[in-house]
Amino acid sequence: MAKYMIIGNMSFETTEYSKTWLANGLGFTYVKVFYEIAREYAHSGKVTFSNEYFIRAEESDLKGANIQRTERAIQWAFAKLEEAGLIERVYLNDKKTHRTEIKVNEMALLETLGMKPGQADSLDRGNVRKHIRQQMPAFLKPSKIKSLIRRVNHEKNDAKRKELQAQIDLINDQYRVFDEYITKLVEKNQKYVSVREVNTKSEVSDERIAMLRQILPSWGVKPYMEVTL
Amino acid sequence: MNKIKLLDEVGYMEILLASMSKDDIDNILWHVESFYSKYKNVRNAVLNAVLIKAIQATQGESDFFSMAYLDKIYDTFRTYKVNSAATACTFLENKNNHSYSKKKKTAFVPEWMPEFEELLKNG
Repeated sequence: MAKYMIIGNMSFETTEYSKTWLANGLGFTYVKVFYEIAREYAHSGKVTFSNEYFIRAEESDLKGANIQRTERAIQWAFAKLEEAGLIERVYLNDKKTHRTEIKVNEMALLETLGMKPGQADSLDRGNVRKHIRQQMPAFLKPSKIKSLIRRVNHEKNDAKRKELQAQIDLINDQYRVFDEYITKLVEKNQKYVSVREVNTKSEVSDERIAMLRQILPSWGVKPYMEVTL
Repeated sequence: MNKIKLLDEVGYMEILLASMSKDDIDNILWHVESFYSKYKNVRNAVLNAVLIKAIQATQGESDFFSMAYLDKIYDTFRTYKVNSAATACTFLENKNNHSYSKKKKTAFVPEWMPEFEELLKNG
């Protein structure tokens, strides 16, 4: 697991291949945009991205998500996410010339990512939250349990210890459901990545192309020469 | 560089750039990419030979080839057992691989035939 972040009582985790997933052509645009927003929100609690951030690849000074889409597609993705009630854009003026913040609806985020296995499948076909749950390589886990186990070991009062143990058992039951669901998700998303790994663009060298243009007539193919004036 | 070595090392993008304009490549690229990802266990040289064969057949025509056409050519490669770079290279150079060989039939001619023909001419 790559990183460990906290929203409320839950921890937000991302998988190892989430970065390659972002740069892929596959997957919906608004799912990728929302993934980047949720990650930032879990990390710092405040999101102030520009539209350019989502498209840009990482450079020496500037960070970027490297989603390979146009700027219009990202504007459309914002509209789609606002319609579903997941985020809200905040502007300085009424004219909407300058965007100050992207507010995240925390309850909606926890609901969508905390869905149990059957719930996401039973939703409608065009539902935004369904697509987010099925495509996003991230999930939630209850984060309390590590501190609880530490407290049980040090506790000497039997009555208090039993209470703590009951809490741990309750969370462990939740964990079991999550773990089964996560393994399914990982298998599902791995499919998107493995397709792209084969299709990575190989390096194009001008020497080899020049060699090919000499040899191609012997195989019955006319070489194409670019016209230069 | 040797022909066989070049066929093995070259990528599909380089073959397309050497033989087509960029506008034509946009029409085909999806088919070629999905063909290469479908047969990822097959040798690169054989797949390259299939691509060249497809370009050779459709060059100068108004229509482009599709992924189904590449699959069809790959099936014929299989029947002729083209597995390596060397066999693929020889397969591309021989133009009459697909056509059936035609044998001329020679009819039986008896010994007395020329004498009989002369008789007919003289009356």
